[in-house]
Amino acid sequence: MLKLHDLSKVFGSQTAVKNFNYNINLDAHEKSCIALLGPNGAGKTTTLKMLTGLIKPTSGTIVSDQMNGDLRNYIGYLPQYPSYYDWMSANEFLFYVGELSGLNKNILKTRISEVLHSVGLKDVGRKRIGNYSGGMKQRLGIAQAIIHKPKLLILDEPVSALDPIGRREVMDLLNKLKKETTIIYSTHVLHDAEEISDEILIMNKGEIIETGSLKSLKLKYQKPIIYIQSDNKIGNWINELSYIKEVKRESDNSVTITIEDEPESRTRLLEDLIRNNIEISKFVVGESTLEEMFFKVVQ
Amino acid sequence: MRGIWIIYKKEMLEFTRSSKWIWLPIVFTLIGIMQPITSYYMPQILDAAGNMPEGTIIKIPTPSGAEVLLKTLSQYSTIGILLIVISAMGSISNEKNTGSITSTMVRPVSYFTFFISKWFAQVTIISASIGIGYGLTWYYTNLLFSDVSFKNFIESCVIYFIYVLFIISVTMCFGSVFRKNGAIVGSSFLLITALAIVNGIFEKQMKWSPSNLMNQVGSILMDNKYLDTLALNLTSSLLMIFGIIFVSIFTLQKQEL
Amino acid sequence: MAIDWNIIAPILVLQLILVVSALYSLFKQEETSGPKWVWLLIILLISTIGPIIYFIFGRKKY
Ligand SMILES: Nc1ncnc2c1ncn2[C@@H]1O[C@H](COP(=O)(O)OP(=O)(O)O)[C@@H](O)[C@H]1O
Ligand SMILES: [Mg+2]
Repeated sequence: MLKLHDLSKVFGSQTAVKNFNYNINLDAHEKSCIALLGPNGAGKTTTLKMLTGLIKPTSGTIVSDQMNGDLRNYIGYLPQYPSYYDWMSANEFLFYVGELSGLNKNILKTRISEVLHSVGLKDVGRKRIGNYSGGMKQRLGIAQAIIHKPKLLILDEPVSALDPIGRREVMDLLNKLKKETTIIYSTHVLHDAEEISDEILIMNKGEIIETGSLKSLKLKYQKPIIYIQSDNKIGNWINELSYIKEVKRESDNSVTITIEDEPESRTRLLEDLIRNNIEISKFVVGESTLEEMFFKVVQ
Repeated sequence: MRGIWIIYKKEMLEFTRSSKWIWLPIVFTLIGIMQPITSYYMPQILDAAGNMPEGTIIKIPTPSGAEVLLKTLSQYSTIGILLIVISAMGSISNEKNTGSITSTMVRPVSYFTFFISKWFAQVTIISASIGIGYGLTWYYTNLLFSDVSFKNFIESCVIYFIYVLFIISVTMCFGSVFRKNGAIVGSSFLLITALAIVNGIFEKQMKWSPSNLMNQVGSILMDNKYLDTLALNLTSSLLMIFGIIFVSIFTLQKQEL
Repeated sequence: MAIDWNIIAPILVLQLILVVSALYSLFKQEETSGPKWVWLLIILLISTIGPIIYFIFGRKKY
């Protein structure tokens, strides 16, 4: 378990992250893949950098019962804007960072070809990094992050800068990796969070605003919404109904309402409409989604 | 210790890849040996310049070997300083600017390790370059002028080396503070030259200054003896170097990546 | 006092190495800061200092 307790980070007068509380499960049999989702400027990069130790939290603590000493021994990190030494080959670079992480020469040799193989760079290991494409660099970035078999893999926007093909490659790679290690990755695209994560953390303005498994969040925000249009005025009595969660008035004669997700709610609504002499001209049933919720947040 | 060696090796590989191991020693050698050679051929050079009236006899006192060597060292402490500063300027700042420093600092490496390994790498290539250049100059000087003893050569070399350490440390310290190479070169060169100029004016008050080491070198070469302030001069210079290194590491630690 | 080539030759050799290695690096570069032909002239025409300026400022990567 890695416990992030009340983390906050202030840059000058700007609070980038505040009151960040979260526990990351690192047990071998409970590996999870966590997506840190939020619009630009939400504080994702700042949070992940605090996790790596590259920046120090203004307040709060990061503690772990499974990691002793320097936490960086157990962490692999892919920065949002990675930059490696252009004049090195991938082999040389992986050797360099692997040695820094304490691996010995003989283990490293086999480990490097293993890792290059799994990220699909086996044939270009001797090429200078300066000649790599964006997608290749990103995969090299993942290779250097996993070279020392970290317990926790931290990836900052691993697919945001990639074209669709590069994105596909990296996503597939992450899908493979999540069986081996706990992953936390950030993204500002809901779709990227949905695709491979078990757990989603939504951040906005430096704070966590929602956490949960993809399934539970979907359920939570998957509410029937009903659009009603009538020929006469719809009174304010509609706001008072017990099974209704939210009413958005479009005009005197039309409303969009979110109702409890129970089968009888819809029937009860129809009954109430009739009882109040509403002359229904349109009754459209739809569903709200996590996407809409996220979209609202971003607004 | 292991970390220092790993980063040091990486720096050395970079010097090789960027041809620094070729051009830096060659430049210091050329600057060095030009001195004895041009001094030696000075009469002919003047002759070839040719705007003397017919029959003018050119008489230039032949300099001693020590004088020639000292001239080389004074070249090394003008153009040479600029070269040292340029060599060391990007060592820290380039990594901060590109962000490649992250790939090192996300590993279990301290800022002390990071800085000191880079410092040793700069010290290695710069002092090797100067050593080769100065050594060949000494060889030429002995060939063309009066002998300078090996003892004097080595001693002047070692004391000049301390001055070089100071220059490298100052440059890398500014490299930790600033990001722009222009600012780093400007402030390093300015500080070191200012110190040398002040030293020239207030010689008595500046016995502690690293720039005063050049006077020590002059005394060894010309008068074959140490100035009596050598111990003070060396101690204070070394202390300043340690201090500057400490400040650099502290600055790096304070900055957020 | 005639020019003794044994004395001058090392200088010429060093300058040659400098120029050749700068040219080699220049031709290997995909991209230099500023046009390549300008660097070619600088390396060839300005003795000693030309190649050095190229090594310090000319390259984007090596
Ligand atoms: N080094 C810094 N100095 C000042 N402000 C910063 C710094 N880093 C981040 N910020 C600010 O903190 C906020 C969060 O940034 P960041 O963590 O990069 O967000 P995200 O990664 O979610 O886009 C932003 O408003 C950003 O401007
Ligand atoms: Mg970010």
